[in-house]
Order: sequence, then C-alpha cells, then structure tokens
Amino acid sequence: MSIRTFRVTRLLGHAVLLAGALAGAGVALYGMSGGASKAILHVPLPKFFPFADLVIVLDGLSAFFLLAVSVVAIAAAVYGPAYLKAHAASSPIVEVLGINFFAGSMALVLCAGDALTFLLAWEGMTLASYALVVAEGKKTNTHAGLIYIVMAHAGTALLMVVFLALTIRAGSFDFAAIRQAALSLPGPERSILFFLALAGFGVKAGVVPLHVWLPQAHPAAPSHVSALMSGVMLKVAIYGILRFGLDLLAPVSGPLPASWGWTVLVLGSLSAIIGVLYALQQHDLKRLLAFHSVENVGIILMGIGIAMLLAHRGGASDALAALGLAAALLHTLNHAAFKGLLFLSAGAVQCATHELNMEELGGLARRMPWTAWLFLLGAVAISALPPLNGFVSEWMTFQALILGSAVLNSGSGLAVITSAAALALTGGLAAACFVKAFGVTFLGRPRSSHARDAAEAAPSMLAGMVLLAAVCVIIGVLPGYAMRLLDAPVMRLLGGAGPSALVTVRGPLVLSAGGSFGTGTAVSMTAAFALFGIMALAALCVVFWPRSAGTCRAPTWTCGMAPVSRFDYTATAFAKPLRFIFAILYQPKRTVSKQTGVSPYVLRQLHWQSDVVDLAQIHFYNRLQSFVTRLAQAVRRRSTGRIHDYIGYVLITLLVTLLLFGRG
Amino acid sequence: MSIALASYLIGIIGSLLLLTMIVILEAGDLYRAIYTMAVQSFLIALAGAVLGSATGNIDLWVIAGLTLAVKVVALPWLLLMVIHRMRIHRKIEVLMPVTVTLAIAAAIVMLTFYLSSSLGSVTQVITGNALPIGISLMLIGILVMMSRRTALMQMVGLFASENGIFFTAMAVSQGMPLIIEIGVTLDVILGALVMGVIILRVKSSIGSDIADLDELKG
Amino acid sequence: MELAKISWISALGQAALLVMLGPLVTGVIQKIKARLQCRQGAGVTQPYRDLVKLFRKGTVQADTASPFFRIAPALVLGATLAAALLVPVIFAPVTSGAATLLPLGDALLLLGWLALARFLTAAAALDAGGAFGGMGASREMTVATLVEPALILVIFSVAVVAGTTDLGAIAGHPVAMRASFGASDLLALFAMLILLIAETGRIPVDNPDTHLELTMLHEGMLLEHSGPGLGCLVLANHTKQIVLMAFVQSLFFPFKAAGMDPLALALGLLAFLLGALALSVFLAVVESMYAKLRFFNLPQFLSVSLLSAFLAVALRLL
Repeated sequence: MSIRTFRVTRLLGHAVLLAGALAGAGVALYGMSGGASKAILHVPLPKFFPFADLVIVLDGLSAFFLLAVSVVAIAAAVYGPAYLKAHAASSPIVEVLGINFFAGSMALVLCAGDALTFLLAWEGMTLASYALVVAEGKKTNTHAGLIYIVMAHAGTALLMVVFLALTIRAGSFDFAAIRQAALSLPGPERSILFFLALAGFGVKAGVVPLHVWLPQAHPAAPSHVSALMSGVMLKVAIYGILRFGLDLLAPVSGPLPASWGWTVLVLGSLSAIIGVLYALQQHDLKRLLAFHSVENVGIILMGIGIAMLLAHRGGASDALAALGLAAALLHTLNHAAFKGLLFLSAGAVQCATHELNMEELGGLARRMPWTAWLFLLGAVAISALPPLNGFVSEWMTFQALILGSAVLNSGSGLAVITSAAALALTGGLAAACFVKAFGVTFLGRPRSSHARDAAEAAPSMLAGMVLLAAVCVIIGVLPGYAMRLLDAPVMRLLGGAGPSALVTVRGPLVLSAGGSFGTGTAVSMTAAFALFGIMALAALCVVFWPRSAGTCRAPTWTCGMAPVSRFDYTATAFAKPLRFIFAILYQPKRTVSKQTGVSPYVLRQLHWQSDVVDLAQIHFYNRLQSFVTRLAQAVRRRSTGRIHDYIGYVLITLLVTLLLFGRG
Repeated sequence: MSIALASYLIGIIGSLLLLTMIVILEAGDLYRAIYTMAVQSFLIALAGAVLGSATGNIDLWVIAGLTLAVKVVALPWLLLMVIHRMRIHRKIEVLMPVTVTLAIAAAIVMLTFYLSSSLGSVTQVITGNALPIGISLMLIGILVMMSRRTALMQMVGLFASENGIFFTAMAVSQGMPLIIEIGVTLDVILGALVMGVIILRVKSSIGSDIADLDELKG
Repeated sequence: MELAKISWISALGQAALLVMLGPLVTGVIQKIKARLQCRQGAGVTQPYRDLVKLFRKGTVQADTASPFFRIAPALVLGATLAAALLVPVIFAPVTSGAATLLPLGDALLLLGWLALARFLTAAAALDAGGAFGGMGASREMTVATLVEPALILVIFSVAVVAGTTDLGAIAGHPVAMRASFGASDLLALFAMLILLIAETGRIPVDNPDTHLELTMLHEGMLLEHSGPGLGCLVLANHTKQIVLMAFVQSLFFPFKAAGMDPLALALGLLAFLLGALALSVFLAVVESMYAKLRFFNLPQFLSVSLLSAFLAVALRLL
C-alpha cells in the first residue's frame, strides 16, 4: 500500500474512534442525568446463542466509567494519526482495527447486562490490547505480550469460575437473576467468590503482587494505546470489583463482611507504596508511568476499602462510606485524565527524539515548550498537589479515612490511620519521582544528539493533550460540579444520599466533608485557586518589572570547567538517597569491576552496575516459572514417542474416570 | 492533691516516660543514653511522689526517695566512672538498624495496649494508662539490651526496664508491698555492681569488650 | 453575611501580618545564634534590607535555563502566600457545630501548598544544569518524603478529637479541648518540634548559612537564582517558617481571640508573638547546640518523630 492509503486508513480509523467516543460520552452523560432510578437503559441484543439472552444495561455506575473511557478515547483519537505517522512501526490496518476493537470491547464490558456478554467483551479487550502490544514485532514486545496474555488469561479463568458458580445457582446468565440468587448464598461461600473475583480483576487492575505484567506491557504499546490501557483498562477492572463487591455479591441488608473491606484496604496500601517505590528507580519514561498506575490503583482501592468497611452500618458511617466511594470514583476519573496526559506527552517526546531513556534526554523544555508545560501540569496533578484534580480526590480520601477511623473502634481506627500515613508517604514519593522525571527529561542540557534535534509535537497531538489537561484543571478548580457526576454511581451502589448532597453542603464551589454531622471541614478549591493566581501574578509582575540593571545570560558555574551535559545530575543519582533508605525493599545489586594498570593504585577502567529488580518477580514468579518448567520436564521424560504408550495412557484415564464417576 | 490533678500529672509523666524511652532507643552516644536514663528515673520518682501525696500511702514516698538516691544519683555515677576508667568509646554500636528497632518498639506498644485492655479490672482508676505504658517500657528496655553491642548499654537497658516495672507496680491496685520494691532495688544494685566488676576485669585481662565473647558454645 | 466578610478581611489581614513578620523572625533567630556564639551578629532587621537589595537587582540567568526557571520563583511565592491565608494567627471564632465561616482551606490544603512550593523549587533547581541544584533537589525531596507521614499523623492526632482538620476550627474549639493538654499532645508536640526543624531547614537537618554542596539541602536549590527571583524564594522561605510556627501554635497552644473586640485581639496578638519568640529561641538554641547530621543518618533522626507521632495517635485512640 502506498503512503497515501496508509494516511487515509489511519485518519478514517481514528475518525471512527472519535465518533464512537463522542457517542459514548453522550450516552454516559444521559445515563448519569437520569437521577437515582435503577437500570435506565435496557437493550436486548440479537440472539447469537441459543442458550442465552444477551442484554446491555446502562446504570449509573456503568455510565460513569463509560464517561472516563470516552474522554480518554477522544483524546487518543485526536492524538493518534500524527503520532502513528511519525512513529509508524506496524501495519495501519492492525493499528486502526485494534484500537477501535479495544475501545469498543471496553465499552461493551461496562455496559454488559449478563455474564456471557461480560466475558466475551472482556476476552475481546484482552486480545485487542495484546495485538496492539505485539504489533511492533520487536523481541521485547513479544516477550511482554506473552507475559501479558498468560496472566490476563489466568485472571479470566478465575472470573469464569466465579461467573459459572453464580450462573449455576441462578439458572440464567442475566445479572438481575444472579443478583437475586446471590442473596441466598451462605456467608463463607459468598466471601470465597468475592476473593476469587478480586484476584481475577486484580490481575487486570495491576494490584500487587499480580502487577508484574504491567511495567512490561504498557511501555511496549504505542503511546495512545498505552494511555488507553493505563488510563482506562485498569479502571474497567476496578468497575468489575465494584460491581461484584457492592452490587452482585452484596448481602441483602446490613454491613458487608469486614474481611472484604480490610483485604481491599491492605492491598490498596501495599500497591500504592510498592508501585511508587519501584517507579522511582526507573529511567524509562513509560515504565515509570506504568508503575505509577500501580500506585494509583492502590489509592483507588484504599477509597473502596474504607467504603466497604463503613457501608450500610447506619447513621454517620453511611455518609462516610459514600464519601470514600466518591473519592475512589473521582480518583478513577482523575487518573484516567492525568495518566492519559502523561502518556501522550511521553509519546510526543518519543516521536521527537526516538528515545525514552531519561538519561539520554534533557533540555527539551526549550525545544518543545508546549509539551513540557503539559507534562508539568500532569506531573503536578499526579503528585496530588493543589490546585489540580489529584489533590481533590486525595483530600476526599484523607477525609474519609480520618473521619472513618473515628467511627470504627480503637484498634481498627488505628489501622485505618496507619493506611492514611501510608497514603501520605506515597504522595511524597510520587512528588519526588516526578521532580526527577520532569527535571531530567525536560530541563538542563541535552545529553545526546537525539535531544538536541528535538522539535515540537504536531498540533493535533497537542490538541489531544490540551483536552486532557483541561479536564484536570476543571475538576481541580470546580470540583463541586464533578460531585454531580458522582451522584449516579454512588447512589446506585450504596443507596442513600449522593455526594452532591453530602460533600457540597454549601454550593458547588465549596467541598465539605462530614458537614452533615459534627463540625466538618470545608475547602473551597475555587477560592484557593483564585487567590493563588492573584498572588502569583503579582509576584510575576514584580519579577519581570523592567529594571535598570537588566537581565543577562551567563554559563553556569561548574568550578571553572567548561559546562557540558555530563555535569548535569542524572536520574539514577537523583533517586540514590531513596534507594539507600529503602534498601530493604529494593535489595539493590551492585557490581563493580576495576581494571588496574601497572600498579594497583592506577585505575584504567571502572565498570559500575546497579540493578533494582522487582522483588515480586524474583521471589514469586521466577520460582513459579522454574517449578512449572521442572514439572514440564518431568512430564517430558515420561513421553517415549511410541504410540502404544499413548494409547495405554488413554485407556488408563478412561478406566479411572469410569471408576470415579460411573456409578449413580 | 486532688485525684483528678494526680491522674492528669501521671498521664503527662507516662508520655514523658515514653519520650525518654524513644530517646534512649535512638541515642548514638553513651553519655546521652545515661543522662536520659537518669531523667527517666527522676520522672519515676516524681510519679511516686505524686501518687503518694494523692493516696496518702507512705510506702510510695519511700520508694520515690529510694529511686531518687539510687537510680538518679548512684547508678549513673557508677556507669560514668566505668566509662572514665576504661576509656570506652562513646559511640554506641548497634546490631540491627535503628529504624528497625523503632518499628519493633512501636509494635510492642501496640501489643501492650491491646493486651491491657482486657486487664482493666486490675488497675487503679487514678493511674489511667500507666499499666500498658509500664509494661511496654519494660519490654523496650529488654529490646535495648538485645540490640546494642556495648555492654554498658545493656546495663542502661536493665535500668530502664526496672523503671518500667516500678511504673507497672504503681498502676496495679493496692500497690506492691514495700518489701518487694526494696528487694527489686537491691537486686538492681547488685546486678549493676556485678556487671561493673566483670566489665572492668574483662577489659583489663583480655582487653576486649563483652560483645566479642562468643566462644562458649557447643 | 457580616461575619463572613469579617472572616475574609481577617484572613487577608493575618496573612499580610505573617508576611511582614516573617523576615523579623529570621532576624531574631540569627541574632540569638550570634549572641550564643559570642559575637554581635547583624541587626534583627537585616533580612528586610537583604530583600530590598535583592528586589532591586537585575537577573543573571544560566544560558541553558528555560522560561520555566524565571517563572517558578513567582509561583513558589504565590503558593506560600496562599498557605499563609489558611492558618489562624490572632482571630479564631468559636463556632457552634456548623462548619466554619470561611471555607478557604484546612491543614491538608496548607501542607499541599507548601508541597507545591517545594516541588516547583526542586524542579527549577534542575534547570540550570549543574551538580549543586540536582543534589539539593534530590536531598530536599527525600527529606520531604520522610517528613510527610509524620506531619499527617500529627494533624490526625489532633483532628480525631476535634472532628475536623480545619485549623480555625481546631484553634477555636470549645474549652474542653483547649484546656486539656494531655499525654498524647505531649508526644505530638515533640514530634512536631522535630518536624519544624526539618521543614524550616535548620541544623541538625540542614545548614541554612552554608554554601558547600555537601551541607546544603535548601540552599542548594536556590544557588542559581539571582535578583528578584531569588528575592521571591527567600521571602517564601521566611513566610514558610512563620506559617509553620503559627501552625504549631494553633494546633497545640491556641490562645486566639474569639470575638472582634480590641482587647481580645491585642491579647491574641501578644500570645502569638510570645509563641513565635519561644519557638525562635528553641530553634536558635538547637542550632547552636548540635552539629549537622550526616545526610544518611537523617532517616534515623526523622523516624523518631514518626514514632512519636504514631504513639500520639495510638494514645489518642486506644
């Protein structure tokens, strides 16, 4: 095919994606405006299978997640054509079909009204993203894709077990029937099913220790696909956890079993800390962002955990559960926005410099100013700093945790406050990580010729990024309006009043927690942002006021030597103090080899190598892998190659089966 | 002194005791550890005096005076004399990282609070939180003994543990009989003297510290 | 509403007071340190003269720096001033159950603004391209990481009782809480004093008077700035110091005016000044008594504050 057909295919394909995403956003907004009524949209699909009815159901929860999918998909669709033109590494048909299929199956998972649609769409989502990951054909891509597909299918297997158990009990695939049948489940069986579902969805969400595929698969895909995978696919798994934990498997009345809430809270805290700790040590931009997704999924799970602990207990704790769930859902939307923005900027850097290693970049802020400022915005948002959206959802999570700890009794309250301290720790670590990422990549001197020859990204790429940045700023500055979006999902799952009644007691510009009881805390992001803006502008005027002394430029003082890029601080050096402090968790390996000259005091060559490997990978997965390999080799020794032996095996199996199941 | 005021003061002294224990755990210098232990013993004497004036129990005044004389003046002086005689290094060497020790101390405090919530009927109302604080002080004193190389720090840990036992005894209802308190103090003095003599002898004959002695095994 | 308008004016007035007194506090600390070192030292108004000098000078910018380098100091000053609005200095009205009158922000937003200021300073430090800025930024962000959990635990140990994280509400809480400075508050105060040293960048965490790269954390980040940009960063540093002092006072020793009568306001102001003086003496004495800790011994020092804060919360809840 000629270049012209490539371009047309790309543009058409992405236009289809854009149209679909806009439609999705419209449907989602319509779904959330319907108020507190239950299933709003109930659309039966044509009967593909004779044994099951397929149906699409759109309620508040589905609509909210569909909105998140649509927003990122719109940005990706606008960004995609220019990115793929600069970065073309695979056939355009695969790219275009893949991304449309991917977005479509994610939307279908969210709207599925019965188990069969859900599983089929889930599988389609996995296959489409796998195709996009391995499309480039490099060896690292195929390896990453292999790990991804194996782990994803392990998770899907667990989900199938859960769904089949529920379907057998209900006698039908429909969610409504399942919900009805699950009401009569005995307690232990209900908990087992929930934990299996948590494990199955946890693989896809990237919960520690099931996160090992994430840092390999997300960087391998093209950047706008990584934005969709990281920003949205993880959220589809969160949707699954919410659907099972709070809707399908929830007991008919009364609080949820305490073990559910505690497990989710502990897993969330662990994922948050471990994700950000490993993110600090990466110097590949996309790998760093992938580890941060693990961290943010942890934060979302913390909000869900406290909501599960406090749900349906009556009185003040119901309001707090709604606050915690609202915080988790808002963080879902926020993360989709700022993670998408960061991945798209990383893609722009990749297009301009063909390099993602931070240690080879630098000084890009002067060559790509728009991308640099947008990356800075995303970095400030993900570090949960005011006045952007990351701070709003973390503020709400903190309020839910502290007010919740006062409601629970003493020991549990202390454990909840410990997880709040863990959340504060991850905030600090995330800020350190993004100072490193932004500073080493965009500031200072260019460290290689790639960085020196960088050019600004194409306007359509910038447009996609600006869209997501606008979402970040709007939710940060006007969070009260975002609470209205959260009404439908929270009321659907927990009943009672929605966040816009609980959290914005004094108008949409003021967020208030616990205002319905006790003293409560109120914060007005709009007023805070306005005052910050005024004071920063005043300071800017003072700084830039023309003075008689004037401004001049001079080279940086580097102790008398001519300044070159080797004087700039490297990313590895920036993260060294934290690597040293948390050495227990990192177990870094260091090898130093020296080559001396005539005398041992004269050094010819010094080779220094330091590794930080994911501990989960070493202790858990490598052991599992070697066990499976040994098992396979043991079985292999048994296979002789003669047909008589194989027939003998078949006969023995038949006899055993008849013995076991033949009677009755 | 009224009951409420005494209860408030003992609460404050309890938290100050926890503070001094944290400082001993974190101390990198022998002099700081010894002086902090003296301050801790002074706080114990103060607590005894407060409780004595609130309940009118003469025994508590005796114990306060005894603690003041022995553990605030005599034993620290003894330790400082050993340091001066032996010209020991001031720096405290640790067997496990200080942050790990602090984490274990936090866990110990949690555990004692959890356990003592079931022992509520044993304590006097006036002393409030003193029982769990006393028990955790005792256990953390043993933690100090376990995690420091320098032999002198083991003595400091023993004395701190001792303070914890006294504080626990004050918390228990009806108090401990005077004779037992004097007996415990006598044991501590004896232990300190024996340790001091052994350290001096070991240093003068072998020339190394007690922490290096590990040949006595099967 | 009348009272709402008063609250707005009082917030802005208190912030202006903090900004104006900030350099004076630094001057007092320098003077006390000098006298303890048996020398005369500069006058207590020297920081004001330094600021005026800096704002009159021109800028010398590194040739590799981007426009971000010149804009960052203004943003840092804006963030610190926004934080100054959130802490009650003299006036903290007693509320009767409803949420506070001025929903500007709470303790978490204050920490957030200070964290934003630190983020931007550290990022700008990497722009001039040299080892000083990078090392200072790396170390400052590490110390920030270790300090944040302890700060949150201190706030929560007070907020659990008050039921809110709003500083004005905590300071104006009914008498029952103010009068009972208990065991848990003592541990939290100990932790907060250590954190005050860490956040204001004083010995034993950081040396504010030196310019050797191995002993700089905060100063290392300011090294490449000059003229009005440096003036903004220095003013932000003074303001941050006095904001943190007011923060400590409103958490632990809140003697604030409950109404708008002049006598109460004067007493509130006097209480604040005395508290600031006490904390200044504390900081100066600690700086003169101790040596700066080796950087890799800092986690050990800061974990004492973490343990103290944790025990404070535990004592409060158990």
